[in-house]
Amino acid sequence: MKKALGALALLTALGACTTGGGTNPVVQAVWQKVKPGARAAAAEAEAEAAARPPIVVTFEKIKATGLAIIRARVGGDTKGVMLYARSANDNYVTYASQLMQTMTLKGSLITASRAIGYDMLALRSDDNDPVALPTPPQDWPERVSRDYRFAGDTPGGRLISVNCKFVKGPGFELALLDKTFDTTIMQGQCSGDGVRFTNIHLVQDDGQILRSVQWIGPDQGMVEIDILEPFTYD
Amino acid sequence: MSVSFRLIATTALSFSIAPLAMAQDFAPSFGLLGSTGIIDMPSAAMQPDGETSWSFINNGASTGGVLNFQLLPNVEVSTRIITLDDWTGPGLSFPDNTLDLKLRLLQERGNRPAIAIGLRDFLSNGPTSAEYIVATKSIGDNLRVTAGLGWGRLGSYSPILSFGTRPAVDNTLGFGQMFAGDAALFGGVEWRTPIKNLTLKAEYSSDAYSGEQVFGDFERNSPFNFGAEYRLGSRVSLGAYYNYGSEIGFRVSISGNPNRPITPQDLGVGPAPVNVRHPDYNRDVSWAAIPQVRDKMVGLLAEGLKEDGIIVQEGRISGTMLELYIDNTKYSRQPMAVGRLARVLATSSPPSVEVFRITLMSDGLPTTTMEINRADLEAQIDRPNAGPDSFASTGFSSAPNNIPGEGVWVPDAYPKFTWGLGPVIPVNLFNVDSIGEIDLMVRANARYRLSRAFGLNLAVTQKILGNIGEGAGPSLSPIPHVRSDAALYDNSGPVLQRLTADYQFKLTPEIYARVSAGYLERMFGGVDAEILWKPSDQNWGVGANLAYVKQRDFDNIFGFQEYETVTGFASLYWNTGWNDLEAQIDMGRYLAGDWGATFSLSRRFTNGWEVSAYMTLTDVSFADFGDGNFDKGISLRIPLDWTLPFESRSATTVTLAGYGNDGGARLNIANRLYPTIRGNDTTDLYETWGAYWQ
Repeated sequence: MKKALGALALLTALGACTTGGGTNPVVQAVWQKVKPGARAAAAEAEAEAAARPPIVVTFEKIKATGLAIIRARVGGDTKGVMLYARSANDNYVTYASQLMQTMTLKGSLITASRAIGYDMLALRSDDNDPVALPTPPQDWPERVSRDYRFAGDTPGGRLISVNCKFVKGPGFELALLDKTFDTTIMQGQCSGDGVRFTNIHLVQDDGQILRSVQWIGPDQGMVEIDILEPFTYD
Repeated sequence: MSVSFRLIATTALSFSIAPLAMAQDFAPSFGLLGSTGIIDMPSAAMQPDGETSWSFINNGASTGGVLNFQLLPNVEVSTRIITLDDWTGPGLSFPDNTLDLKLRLLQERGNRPAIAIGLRDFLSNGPTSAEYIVATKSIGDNLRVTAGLGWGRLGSYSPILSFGTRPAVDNTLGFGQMFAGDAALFGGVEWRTPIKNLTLKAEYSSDAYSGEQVFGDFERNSPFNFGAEYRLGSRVSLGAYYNYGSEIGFRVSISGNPNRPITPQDLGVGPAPVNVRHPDYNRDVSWAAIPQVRDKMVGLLAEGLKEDGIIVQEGRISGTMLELYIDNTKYSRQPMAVGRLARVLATSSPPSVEVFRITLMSDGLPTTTMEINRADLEAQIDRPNAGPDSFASTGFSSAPNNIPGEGVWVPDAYPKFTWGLGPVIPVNLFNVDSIGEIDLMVRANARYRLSRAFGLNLAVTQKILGNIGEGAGPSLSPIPHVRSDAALYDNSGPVLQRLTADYQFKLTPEIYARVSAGYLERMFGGVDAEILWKPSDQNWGVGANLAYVKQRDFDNIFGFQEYETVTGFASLYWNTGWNDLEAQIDMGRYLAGDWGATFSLSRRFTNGWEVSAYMTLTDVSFADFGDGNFDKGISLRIPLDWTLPFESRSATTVTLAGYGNDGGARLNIANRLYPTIRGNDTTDLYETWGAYWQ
């Protein structure tokens, strides 16, 4: 029986060797790390990267790309990842990183995320949601409702509905890339269906949100985004 | 503004998250018996839905293992495989294999306690058989109180009531003992201490432990038991106990939950972003008149899809429709493969193509065709209700064996050789002399496929270590020794488990067929034919199989013995669509010539976790059957991507089943039809459709 216990404890590890046919993905991944020359190549690439001068991103450079760009930070990441607009359907714009992690935004409201840990499938919000529709801080509605959909059983997935109350905070001078901006701190205090969170947005006078910390799920938590170049249909 | 935004954000988040963290529940704990309870006594608490645990237990009078599974939010099942020391005589142990069931009738709410009813060893009137009604109530955040009334073993100390006469323990199948005889009160408390993860317990036990004291040194001096439980993270818990005024006991439990994967599940590469076709795009279809263009387009598409684990087996494009028969070799949930494929098609197909017909295949068998209107897809993508809308707008139908009509592109893929390597861990529970026998083997599979439908299959195992069958004497079974001579089969070197020619195909879009011939399994070779009627939009199916087999030689790898038989079954499969539960009944003639039925129940979670149990009853008497009285078993399937942060369709299966019993024995056929195709029907696709847009 002790052997049975041990075997079950090892099950997960042993599962790595199970294959439904062909080369196992775990074996593949390990092989890529340990195959002859892999370590030397990785060290060489690392040294090359370290030797390169750091790239300074400016608004001018971003403008020159002609792309809509956001920067996202998840978890303890301090540098952030650039995501570029890849598709636009109606008012929903999907941004993708080089590794094809994607975020879909309606205005500045994150309505979906993919491949960054735990997917948020979709988000419905009220038509007057000021995060989705640029709205000067003084005109923000008192409350909106939102329905988050997450991966789960059945086509609808797991639905979490919240009500969000907006609270206007003090002004805030935001240093972003090579510029500074005068913004107003707006809080969105949301609760419902067993969750409670506070989103924070730094909003310019014309309603454009430049930086935002938003909740994208009970497992994923918060993500911080900078809207470096907003999407337009021009 | 001197304070940084990050600080503001962090502070605000701390305030919003803190109250939730403080409200964390007092998690239900396992008792010494490995199921949810106090120590020896049960409680009305339940584990989280789907929680699966394996416990090793020792209470001074018995030792063993327990597989506990939260079958439904209000139903807990446990199978205990324990050795009762000094049970049949001094130094003579008794292996007790039991199935326990607990049903929560009422959840705790307000002042009302949770109330549950439970049955221990409910399939047979064995030495640990007991029934109870129990109530559990939380008092504050850190204290839980339980009180109950027990029958059987749980009514054996200081009974207060009597409900007729309870039949004597005879370890046979029956229900007459339930809630009969003396009934006694039990109760206890659980206290979550200020020391993180430490819970202390005390209980008043209504179990007299009479049987344990007849032949052994075991003494029960007190009805009071005490224990401490410590949780190491969320997956391991340890328990130590001082029981009966005389004994030290302990428990080690390892838990997993299909709803709580070990790693984040959605890392890697996201799906392709899709732009809606512009109304001005040229939708001319003249290109479709040239066969070479059509074939080239499908061929290039097939080549590109390979990188995403999607293998195109057949394809055809016309001016307005694209049809593909695909094998999904990567994504654990089929809708994820279909959704990603649909996105790729929406970005790469000529604007004139309006309809995508995608057929999922499984082991060469076409199963369900999904018809997706491209305009619908474009209208749904990124939208809030895309999940339900996409399922509603997709057409589902049973797929024919091939894309009907002319102009079908078929890859030059055959003959094709594939292989695989993996561990196999058979566990034998039901051996009177030694419980918990286990082997660890490596299994190599190889397939040489001559066409999509026809292939040669080879499976060879090599035992690494283990003790199954060790010390087994000659079989004394009075019925044909179809399994009981298992120990006589030579496994000193590589063992040929399977060498078959297999042909599987569809007779009609709703009828599947398979013929296998050769060395079908370790102990039998012959011919096996199977047919299955299972429309893809129906949640049940009917199948039948018939086999003529001969028993294989003990040591000659290709030889046969004298015993030959005809075995066959009629089978009913039902995916209830309720809480992922599936049921199966197989009725027919077993290998030893006995007639009977096998009943199976499984819960298959949408992420591929599956816990299943079966029992077989045939016209072989319990006495002739031997240890365990009748064939029964449990298997646990854990998908690889539950433990690792990338998509994979691989899984590990552990089967806890009988070994060496002749009654109720069936052929071990590796490629039965229903398990092959069941993941692709409309019921399954509905359950997993949440992954369509992932």
